[in-house]
Amino acid sequence: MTSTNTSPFVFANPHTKTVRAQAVPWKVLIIDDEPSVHQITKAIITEYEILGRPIECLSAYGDADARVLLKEHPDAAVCLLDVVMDTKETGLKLVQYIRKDLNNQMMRIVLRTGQPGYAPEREVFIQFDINDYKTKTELTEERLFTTLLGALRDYQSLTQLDRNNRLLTDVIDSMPEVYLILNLKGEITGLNSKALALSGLSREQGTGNKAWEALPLLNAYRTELEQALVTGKVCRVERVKTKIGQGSQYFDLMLYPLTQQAGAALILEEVSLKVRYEEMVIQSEKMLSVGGLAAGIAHEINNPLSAILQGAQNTLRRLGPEMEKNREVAASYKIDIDALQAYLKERKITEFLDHIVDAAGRAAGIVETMLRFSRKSESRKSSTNLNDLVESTLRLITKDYNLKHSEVFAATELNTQLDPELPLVPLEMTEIQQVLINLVKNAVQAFGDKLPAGNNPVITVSTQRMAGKVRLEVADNGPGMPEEIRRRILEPFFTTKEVGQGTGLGLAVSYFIITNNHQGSLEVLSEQGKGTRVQVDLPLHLEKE
Amino acid sequence: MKLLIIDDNQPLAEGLVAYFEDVGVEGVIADSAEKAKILFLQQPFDGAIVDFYLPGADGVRWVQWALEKKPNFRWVLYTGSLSYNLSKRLQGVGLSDRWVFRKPKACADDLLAALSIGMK
Repeated sequence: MTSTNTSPFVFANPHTKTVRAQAVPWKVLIIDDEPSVHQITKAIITEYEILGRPIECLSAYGDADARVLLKEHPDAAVCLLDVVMDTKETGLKLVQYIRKDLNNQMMRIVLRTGQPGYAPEREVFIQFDINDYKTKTELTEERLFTTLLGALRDYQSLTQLDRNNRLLTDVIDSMPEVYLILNLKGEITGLNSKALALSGLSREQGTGNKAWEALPLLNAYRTELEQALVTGKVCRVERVKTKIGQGSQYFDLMLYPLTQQAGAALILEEVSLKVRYEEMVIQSEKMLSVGGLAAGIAHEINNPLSAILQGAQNTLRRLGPEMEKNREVAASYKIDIDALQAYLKERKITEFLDHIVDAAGRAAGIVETMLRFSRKSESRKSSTNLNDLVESTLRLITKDYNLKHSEVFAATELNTQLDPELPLVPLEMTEIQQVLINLVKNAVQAFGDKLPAGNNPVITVSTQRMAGKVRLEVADNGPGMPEEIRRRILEPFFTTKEVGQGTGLGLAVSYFIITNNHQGSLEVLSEQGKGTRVQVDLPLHLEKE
Repeated sequence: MKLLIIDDNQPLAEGLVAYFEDVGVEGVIADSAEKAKILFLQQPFDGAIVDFYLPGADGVRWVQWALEKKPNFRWVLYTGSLSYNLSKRLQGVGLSDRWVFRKPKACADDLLAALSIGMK
């Protein structure tokens, strides 16, 4: 049994059939300064067919042409190499050239010397990586055949083993997962390219390190990993998180013991997209449940709200001195309606009634907004120049009464970075306008009531063409938000503003407009102390709904 | 001008009547489609404000019934259901979303304005 067969991975030689059909010859290099040796060797061995393949002989007669030949034929199976040629050590130097300079460990080297005194067999075998040593006199035709057969068998096994190793390495290196081989101490003995990319280390730097030192995201699970290594049990951890810039990456971790060796394999599968998708599904479900609830209660709420509004408006009207009927009825009760007006004003009764009208109007607005979550956009989308829409919306925002009177907004630098190559985007203009207004207002409010110390507040609205989509981004250099808030920021009714300052629907509605009505995505990236970016991606082509 | 207000929400209906009274329009309340049918047959009305959800037959059925009796009769649908839209079938028989008003955003003068336009 060859060593190949003891490998846990046995791969079929992909060339086997081709080789047999075309009988690709074994390349045998003859390097010797005696032309007669070439002639005789060739005459003998080109008659052979060894392991089903003929033999092709290639010749070199000295150091220089040997080096050219060796370089041109790295796939030569055997090199029959004379020792004493240009110098006493030409052959031995060529061995070094093959093994070290050309890094060819596969080629089988058979030293053939006519002057064994110059290169004693034992010393040469110890010092040089050769495979056989023969004196020319002992190489009879029979011995030459057996020597070649042995060398070719070795070469065949080695190349098969090498192919398997390369395939195995390629398989592991091509894995989309991070893959580490660990010893029982948790030290890395092997790692694939994804592991190198994640750790930022070279293969040499990574090898020998503890896994949790090379990959700090494993640090939190060090105890579990150490325990699993010692007990030989499988260890799984879902959603291992690591920070990448302003965003996060998530991995599912699995460590399992190796069966043939003391150690374990550790796999990290990136599941960031899956996590994001799950978050999106949860958001959508929350929103749809809000929408469903709103649809159910809208009628029940809007009817009494109508009565409240109508009643308050009627009351205001019937207290006013402008209406002749009011004056008539008041006079019949000997009431001076102008004095009554003065009284109502002084006691702020008309103001209270105005508040009732305002409050009922706001409540109606909330119900209407909640209902957005239950409806598909019925409006028709049209191909729109998003840059124009951004500019016109920002002009509108600067005229917004509340913002115009905000000290923070007045000091805010509102920048745009619009991609001049932006293609037209299918969208519903009023909806995207609403999203942009919400995002900019949120950014202004993120700065707080007072100007932040240090940096001046800057909000940057940018557009960018990307593969199959365009990105609209609103970025601020505000205080950012902690992860626990960022995770909830899209939930309907979640707000960090003071009671009465916001309904917590603006961002949720924006999210719904983008994901539900425009088949796009909205992502909030934030880092405390550095600011927040909201990225809205809109597809250039909509799938039929 | 005399309007029929078909709504089972009494405070709202009375509020509308009060508004109309102040602008010189008479309002008569029916709190169900059945009562509205009786009033419609008994008295002449220039138009109707019709709630959609009513006890018994709904507002749209009442409008259909009224239009069969008086094809040029003016009406507006006044509904608290924001998601309500006229079905294609109803649009097919001449009912239009133009005459659908939402509570509480649309107020009494919107309704009156719509009916007055219709009456020209």
